[in-house]
Amino acid sequence: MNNAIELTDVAWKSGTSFDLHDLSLTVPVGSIYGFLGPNGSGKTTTIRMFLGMMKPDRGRISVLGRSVPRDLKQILARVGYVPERPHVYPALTVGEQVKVHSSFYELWDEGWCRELMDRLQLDPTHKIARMSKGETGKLLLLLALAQRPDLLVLDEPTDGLDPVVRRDVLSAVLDYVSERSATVFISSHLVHELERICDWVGVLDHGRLVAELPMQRFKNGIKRIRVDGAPAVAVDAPFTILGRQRDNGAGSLETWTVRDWEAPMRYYFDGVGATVRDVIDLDLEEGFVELLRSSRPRPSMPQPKNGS
Amino acid sequence: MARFLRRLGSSAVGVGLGLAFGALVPAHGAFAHAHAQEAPLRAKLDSLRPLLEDARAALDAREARDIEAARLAAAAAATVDTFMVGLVTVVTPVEQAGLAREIFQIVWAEHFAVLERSRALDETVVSFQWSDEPVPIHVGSEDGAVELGARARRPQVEAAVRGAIASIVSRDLRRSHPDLAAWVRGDPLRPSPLEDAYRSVAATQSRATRGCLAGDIAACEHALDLREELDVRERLDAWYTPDERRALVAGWSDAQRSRFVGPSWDRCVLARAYDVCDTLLTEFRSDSSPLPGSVRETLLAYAIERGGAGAWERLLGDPEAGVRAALVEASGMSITELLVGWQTRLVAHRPETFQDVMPAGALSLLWTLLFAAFAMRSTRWRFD
Amino acid sequence: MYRSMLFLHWKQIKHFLTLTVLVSFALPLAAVNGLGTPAGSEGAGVEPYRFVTEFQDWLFVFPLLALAIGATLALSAWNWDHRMGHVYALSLPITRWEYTLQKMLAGVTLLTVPALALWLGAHVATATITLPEGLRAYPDELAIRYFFAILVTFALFFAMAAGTIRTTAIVVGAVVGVMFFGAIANDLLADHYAFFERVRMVDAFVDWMVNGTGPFGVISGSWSLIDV
Repeated sequence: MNNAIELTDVAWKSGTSFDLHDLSLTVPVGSIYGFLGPNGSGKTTTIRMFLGMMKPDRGRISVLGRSVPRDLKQILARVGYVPERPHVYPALTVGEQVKVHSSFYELWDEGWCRELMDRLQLDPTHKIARMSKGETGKLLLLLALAQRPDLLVLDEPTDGLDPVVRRDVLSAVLDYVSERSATVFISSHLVHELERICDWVGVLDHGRLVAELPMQRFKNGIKRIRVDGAPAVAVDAPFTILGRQRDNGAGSLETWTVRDWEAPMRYYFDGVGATVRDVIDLDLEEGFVELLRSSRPRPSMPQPKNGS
Repeated sequence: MARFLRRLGSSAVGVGLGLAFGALVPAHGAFAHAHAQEAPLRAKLDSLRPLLEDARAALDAREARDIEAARLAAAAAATVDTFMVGLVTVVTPVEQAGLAREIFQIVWAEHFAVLERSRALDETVVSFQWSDEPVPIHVGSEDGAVELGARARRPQVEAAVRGAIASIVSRDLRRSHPDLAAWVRGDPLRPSPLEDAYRSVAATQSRATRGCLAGDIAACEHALDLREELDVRERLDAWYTPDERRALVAGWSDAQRSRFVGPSWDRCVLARAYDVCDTLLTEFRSDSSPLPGSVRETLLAYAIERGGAGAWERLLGDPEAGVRAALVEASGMSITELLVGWQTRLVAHRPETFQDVMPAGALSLLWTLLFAAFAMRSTRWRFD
Repeated sequence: MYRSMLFLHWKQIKHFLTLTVLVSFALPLAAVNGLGTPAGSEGAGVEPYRFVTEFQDWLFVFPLLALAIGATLALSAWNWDHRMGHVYALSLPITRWEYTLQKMLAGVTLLTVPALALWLGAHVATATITLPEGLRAYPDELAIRYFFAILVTFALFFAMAAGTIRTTAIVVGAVVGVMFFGAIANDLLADHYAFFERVRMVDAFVDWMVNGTGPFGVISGSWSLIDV
């Protein structure tokens, strides 16, 4: 089993908002996969698909080497899931919720659970209805981790949490991964957060996977390049052009936004008679925004009126 | 116009009387003087009251005649059909004649076929309407009416028809055999269900009823008060044990106790002077029989059923005959045979209290399993 | 897993269940209150027929209470799941039918409690009175009928609540629609065909539901704790 999660040509029509179009996604075993996308792009829907909560219209899904939905029971026994919306029972205390949850998992580790409870500073007698958002987030993570999963699926785990809690959550995840070599699938729209911990990234926009590559390549590969004398059409470019913009009042100077850039590629411009003036690094967030911009159809420019 | 004139007339009478009263009422300043003359004034007032009442009565009579005239006019305009089913004369709107005939035929055949003659039915017309908009149908004041709204169900209608006929026929009983009517106190041709009769018999605290249920036919005779030759004390003794007689007196209401018997009640109930209890029951309770009319009418109905054709006429044939004799005459059986048959049927109709609970429970278990299967087969939950 | 389901349901319903236990226990006692004062005392008791007839006033309360308990237990079993969108249940390593079965068994366990309370109350009630000759008490039978009435109501509402809201709306709408339009159709046909005058389809359907072999047949029998 090379991939913890494999989606092949998965399609789904919602009928209202967005559709999933031929989604093919692979999450290598042992990786921390960041699933990026703006709100409403289909991240949660994708997660629900491979966790068997929703049925795709077509396509194949396998998780931890087993087929969804045929082996769903065996799969879910090895998956820890932290959903976007808390799914704990408000009338219970922390201790009661833990006890209820543990009854469903054979691999539940009681000692590890107590350790986590101390580490995350959760009081077992505390009523869930009275817990803050941060405490609830920590509880959800505890429930997911204490069952010793091979795959940890986190859907917007730090959304709405303060920085301290976010740090606690992410460090607990990282510690678990390093100890157990588990695979982690995190979906988020908080790009800067994933930048620090993920080694793979997939970008989803309007139900389409617009990029899937190692994080380093993604971060390092998106650049802004200031080019002088660039040809109108870039033929056989070794990189992907995300956008070109002529600089105002700067003659033939253009700013290109490119993906999959490597340093030696500057020689391409020599070959087309252009000169690279500057290569500007973009952080992940800027790169993410440029990537999304390029993947969306551009609105048509308004035509100038006669005489203007 | 007529109504306006009537109102004007009544107003005029009222004004006239008011003026008359006004003439009698003394001026304000002479109130003291008028007070001293109160008695003669009252006498004059009293003398005017009959005048007022006569005027009112005349107006009411005029109004009633006008309504009756309107009814007759409407009846003349309405199209009705009159027909006979068995001994019953039925009048009904033409459009309901077919349905009415069918219903009356079914009811007659099922419940009244034994009747060969009935004076009450001969002199009665039954109007029938099963409609939300009944039309005025002229029938006499003593006649029967079956009028139900369109939403009434067929079984309700049939029950109403049966009730109307039974009620009319029971007039024959009251007229021809008052003693029998007083004994049965109900509609012999529409008896209560035997299950209710059984409950009555079984739940009555009486040695006669206990014996009757156990099969002692002599006890049944006593319980049904068929031993007319016995005097009151003998009957009481046959019906109840001394303690039961005491319990009867103890169950009297506070009003009865205080109004009628006072200390005697205390002696009977508290001091257990049974002879005093007997005296109280004899003197202050005209009827302490253990079984109500609803049970007796089942016996009468049974006697008519066993007697077959002509049983009703034989029942009413001799008004001087006692209840026992009338039952024997109607059924064509001895009283013992009659009571044995009735008692057997009564016991056979013991209510099946909870006898169905295990089969019903098993059935509900099957339904539960079916619903459980539906629940487990339920389609996926949605994210609403 | 079953114990967790039982615990979760209990947490949801404990106040209501406690109330129903108290009411179920007290109901037989209230119904026989004042009846059966021992003969020989000053009050000399109530006429035996009143035992039967006065108890009739209470008869409608038992099936009504059974229906209310069954329905409430069933709807509360799924309440949290519906509120949380079923995400939790769907994320557990358990098949849906196992989850549903465990939940149902937990509900059935809880519904035995008010039935036991009624059984106890009925026995206490009949022990506190002196029944006249000719009458007998039916505490076991009453409790059995009560239990089955709660059970079948619970099962019906449980099945409806287990489905989607849309499915439930379809089922309920279909039943109501059939009854409503069936009644209208019957009336229209009755104008032309005598058969439909005699046979009212909706009445026959309702009759089947609550009598005989229908799902609520157990409710239509006798509920008299004291009878002949």
